Amino acid sequence: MNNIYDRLKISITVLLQFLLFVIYIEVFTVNDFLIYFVLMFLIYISILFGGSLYGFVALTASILAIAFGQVYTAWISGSGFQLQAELISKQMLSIAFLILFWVMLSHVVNLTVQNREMKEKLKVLERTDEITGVLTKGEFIERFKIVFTAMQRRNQSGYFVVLRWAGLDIKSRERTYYSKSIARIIGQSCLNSIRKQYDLAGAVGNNTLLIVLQNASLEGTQIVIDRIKDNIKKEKNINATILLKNVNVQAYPIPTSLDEAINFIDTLSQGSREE
Amino acid sequence: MLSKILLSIAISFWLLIFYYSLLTVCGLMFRVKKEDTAKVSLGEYPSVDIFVPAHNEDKVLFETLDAMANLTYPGQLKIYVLNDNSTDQTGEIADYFARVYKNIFHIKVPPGFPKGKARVLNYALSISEGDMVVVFDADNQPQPDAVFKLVSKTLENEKYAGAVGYVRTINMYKNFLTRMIGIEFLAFQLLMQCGRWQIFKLGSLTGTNMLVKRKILEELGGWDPYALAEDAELTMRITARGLLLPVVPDSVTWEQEPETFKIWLRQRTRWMLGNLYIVSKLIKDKDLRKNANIINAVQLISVYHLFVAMVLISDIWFVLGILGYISTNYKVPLLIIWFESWWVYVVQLMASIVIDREVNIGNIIVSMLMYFTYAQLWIILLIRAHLTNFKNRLQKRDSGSFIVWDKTVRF
Repeated sequence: MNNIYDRLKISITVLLQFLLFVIYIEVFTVNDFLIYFVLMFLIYISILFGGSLYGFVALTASILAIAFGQVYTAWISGSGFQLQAELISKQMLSIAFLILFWVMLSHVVNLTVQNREMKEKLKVLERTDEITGVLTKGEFIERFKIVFTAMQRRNQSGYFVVLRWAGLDIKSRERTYYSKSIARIIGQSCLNSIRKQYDLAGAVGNNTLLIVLQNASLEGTQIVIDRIKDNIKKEKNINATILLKNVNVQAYPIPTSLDEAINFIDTLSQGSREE
Repeated sequence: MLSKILLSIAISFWLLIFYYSLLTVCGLMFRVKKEDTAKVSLGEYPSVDIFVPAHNEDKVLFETLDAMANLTYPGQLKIYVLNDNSTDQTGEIADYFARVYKNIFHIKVPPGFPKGKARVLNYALSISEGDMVVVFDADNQPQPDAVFKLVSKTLENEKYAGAVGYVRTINMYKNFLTRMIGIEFLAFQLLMQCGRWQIFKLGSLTGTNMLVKRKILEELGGWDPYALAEDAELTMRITARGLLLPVVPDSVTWEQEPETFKIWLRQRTRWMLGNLYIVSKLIKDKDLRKNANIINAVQLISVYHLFVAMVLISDIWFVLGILGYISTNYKVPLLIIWFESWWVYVVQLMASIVIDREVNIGNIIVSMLMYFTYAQLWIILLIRAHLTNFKNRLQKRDSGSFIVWDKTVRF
């Protein structure tokens, strides 16, 4: 229902504008048209550089200018009733046309700006990495802070597991390539190997995944690492032995200070390749 | 006499414009139809072999194979990287993926003659055994479900010899030329391909993102190693058998297009030479002139020859008309004819950018300019291709002597 209302709203505006344009062509002379074309251009420039409200200022100024222009025209052209009635009807038409022009243009410009802003916000709010399925770095850090506080309150310790894999240097491109398909497989294997309610897995670069295991000992961490490897081995089309040779897996105890822990994540992120 | 010639030119010009307009409208109708998604639940999934011919492709192959590894297909899927004596890092990249993935194979194609893609594909056919054969060029990045959709469509009807997917331009917004190529692909390769399928049930293999049943390929004796446009040639033989090649717009692959005029000219000259080879084959072999191949022949001739001839005539007509050199017994509204032919061309391009969600101010402006720029380039192209063909004939070179890996330079 909302969709129909939106479509109706915009289509009525467009139809009205078209209708007015037809009348405009019929009623106005070339000189009139040139004057209103200049005013439309002013509104357009104001919206383009300042936005909808600046456009409104230009619209108001235009409407006022038209009023003064009308007085001047009537003053020098005589005061016959027919002439004045014609001037007023032309003025009403042109004002309606300018208002609709401002409404349409502001609407389209606002939609475009909002659309871009929303896309940017969405990018920030994205919780999972689109390739690996694990958390994005921003989301990972936010959740880690909560987990860390809870661990401290319960006087628990935990482990970081870092998985980093090798890429391939392509000389003709002068850069190192990291496979997204390999990242997806490792990411999915990590997610299937951790306790979803307690642990965290995040992507901290193109070739690095980081896992947080809370309330875990070194033995427990090793079990998770083995589980990840087993899950990679279960992948139908993967030569697990070869792939695992290319993946460096390391476990580190989570530092006791939050700043140190965040610093650890940042260092990992800087160390990971961003090509 | 001149009047009659001009009148017949005008009529054939407008018939061609009408044909393309009809294809545009029918293509749009085909695209807006909603496919029944229930059709894609299959009981059994045939085995699929993907062939990726590669000759010095290290600039693009990593991303290509990465995309191949991400393909989702429930049945057996094997990917063959057909390395034809590459001297760059192509082999290294193929090895990297072949080591990690059990279903990716680095095949070193033995040297042979004639050189080129068709021979490499025939070699792959001889060493593989999947029920379905899919071909992707080495610069392609198919969407994960591309192969699945091709297979699903092929299995819908016994008369389907395979299926043809969509090829989109990955570097469309790189520069003015790539934007024009991108729009040309959207209109003449994609939308009109859909139109041909809608009207004549006629699809054309596009060389990449295409599927053919192995059984059919074996019965036909594989690809013609002497054909430069091996895809169009295979299409003719399949169609001559009364088999169909449905178009699957949902199966999408992204391909890199030439970024400089020189490389574009070289690529298209090759395509046009391939086209001339097929036309000569059509003339010689009456078995090929069967079923819907008549339309295919008209299509081949109209795309590369009639269209360009018409552009040239319209230019000459316009200039002579303006200068007052043409005077006929007929009162021909020259300006209107010229303007409307430009406008119809623009509408066809615009229809394609709208339906493929590429509509923006830049593309609209480029569409309006393409008649004066891109379409005119085809005149150079046609002359160049005919000269090359003439030179080859003069030197009595058979096709095999100039069939080489004349591949498009990657960026």
